Amino acid sequence: MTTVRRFLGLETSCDETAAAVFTEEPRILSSVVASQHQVHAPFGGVVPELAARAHIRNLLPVIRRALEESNTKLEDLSAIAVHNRPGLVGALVVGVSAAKMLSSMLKIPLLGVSHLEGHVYACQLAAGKNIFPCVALIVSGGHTQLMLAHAANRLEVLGRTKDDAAGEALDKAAALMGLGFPGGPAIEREAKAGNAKKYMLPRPLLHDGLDFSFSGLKTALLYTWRDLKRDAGDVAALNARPDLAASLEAAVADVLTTKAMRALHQTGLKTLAVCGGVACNTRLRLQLQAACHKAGVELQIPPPSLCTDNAAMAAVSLEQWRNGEFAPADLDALPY
Amino acid sequence: MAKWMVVMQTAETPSVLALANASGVVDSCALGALKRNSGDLAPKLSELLAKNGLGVSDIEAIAVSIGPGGYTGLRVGLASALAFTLVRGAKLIAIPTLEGLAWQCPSDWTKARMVADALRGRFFMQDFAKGTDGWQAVSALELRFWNELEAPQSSIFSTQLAGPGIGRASAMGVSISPGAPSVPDVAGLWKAGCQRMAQNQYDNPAEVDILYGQPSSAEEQWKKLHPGSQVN
Repeated sequence: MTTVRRFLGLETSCDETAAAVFTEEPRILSSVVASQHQVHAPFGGVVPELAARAHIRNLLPVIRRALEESNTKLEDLSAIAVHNRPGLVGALVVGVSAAKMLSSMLKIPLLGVSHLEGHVYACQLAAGKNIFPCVALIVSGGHTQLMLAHAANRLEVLGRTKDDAAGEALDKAAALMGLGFPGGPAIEREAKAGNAKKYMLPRPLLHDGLDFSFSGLKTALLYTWRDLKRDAGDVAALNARPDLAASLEAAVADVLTTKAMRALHQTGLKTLAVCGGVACNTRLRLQLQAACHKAGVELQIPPPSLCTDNAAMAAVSLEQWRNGEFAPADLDALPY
Repeated sequence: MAKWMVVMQTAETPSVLALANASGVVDSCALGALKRNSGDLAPKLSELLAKNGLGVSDIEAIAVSIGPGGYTGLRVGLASALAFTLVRGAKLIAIPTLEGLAWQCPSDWTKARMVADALRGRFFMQDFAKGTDGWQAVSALELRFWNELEAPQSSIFSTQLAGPGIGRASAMGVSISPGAPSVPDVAGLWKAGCQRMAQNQYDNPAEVDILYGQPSSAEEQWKKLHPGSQVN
């Protein structure tokens, strides 16, 4: 009888502590995520030091649960895969240290994984088929990039943000309007009752290349919110908040959709993969679906559980494992 | 059969890894800098075990310093120790850095006041006393300001000082007794670990945390902006 090989993936690059067990096929046997949203909520954004502290507290319970839920013993594992780049170094080092110890003591290979490659690979995991080559849009609190994805582990940057990531702009806007953290879901909830055409917020760099810029949009929202409060008062500003949230969401979705379609046009590719936490946004998903349908492009967006940070996407390392490209025992945690 | 213990001192530089049994520290090695690469701790432990003809299943417990100390070193040490306990169920002994240092005090000392730099103009202070069961903390870990040492009649001087902060205290004119330990070592952790083993006092790996001793600067700033409020 052939035994299917099993792998443990670990993710601690930002504010989610995650572990997953997957097979070489790949099949996801378990995927456990401990969110730190409550820890960071008072600050309106991720505090690196607090993220690192929370990873230490969450690490072992998350690994144990991932093993239990997949009915896996450590002895069943063929390798340990860990996201070692890019991310918050103080956070990454927790997962990397644990992965190195497990690999050394179990005497099994260690696989160093790019978090960004993992995000792109999540699209293939969800699709259950080969999606490469494609254009990949990675959009989260830490990243906003358009990539030419020759393969999950061969990404070529087509465009990236010159300042804030889209998710970061949403977090800051949500904090400004008192909507809480994380900003993306908070803005989306508020926007449901809003009119997206009420405020014409700027679409930075919309007609210019494949790079992004969201700081100007954030500033425009700041001034609009400030003027509303000053001219109409706090209550009126609060009443206008759903419209403002919807207008912001629409501006972000317009920019992301336009740039993604431009990248597809320039590369001639017919598949768009969208990943990262902001890809959970319903307006963005609908807008991308409509644009891709019109252009005859296949759209691959994973379900929300595979869009946000998770360890199942460490399965991108399976090709490294097949090729024997193992990480050194003193693997580095890299911020970029 | 001897009960083996892995001992990890990663709170202060130089970080050291050791293998010990009931008779003492049997073998040890210094670790490279525990910075963002999380260092060579795991491969060095593999080497140390192999060199001494031991496997993971021979290890009864792992004793690790949990702070106060350098944040990255503490995280590397504890995350590694937690992962180690998963492999063959070794028991975890989490030892506060200053407690380990108390066990390094000269044999004729019966009490000691440990001090360690906490940065941002502050230092940690905690009192320890030696009883029949060895050294025990007799006060809570306190956060004090270095400028308190400038007061000539400061009650801080009333007990023999030891710990990583004595260099700075000495530079400020405080008298330090000969033999006062200042650098945490694996021997102190081993002694404290043996005491815990003898009393069957182990830590739950799922609940243990680093002893930071103070809030992060983000939390401090937040509290200044929101007096009276609690951060999660």
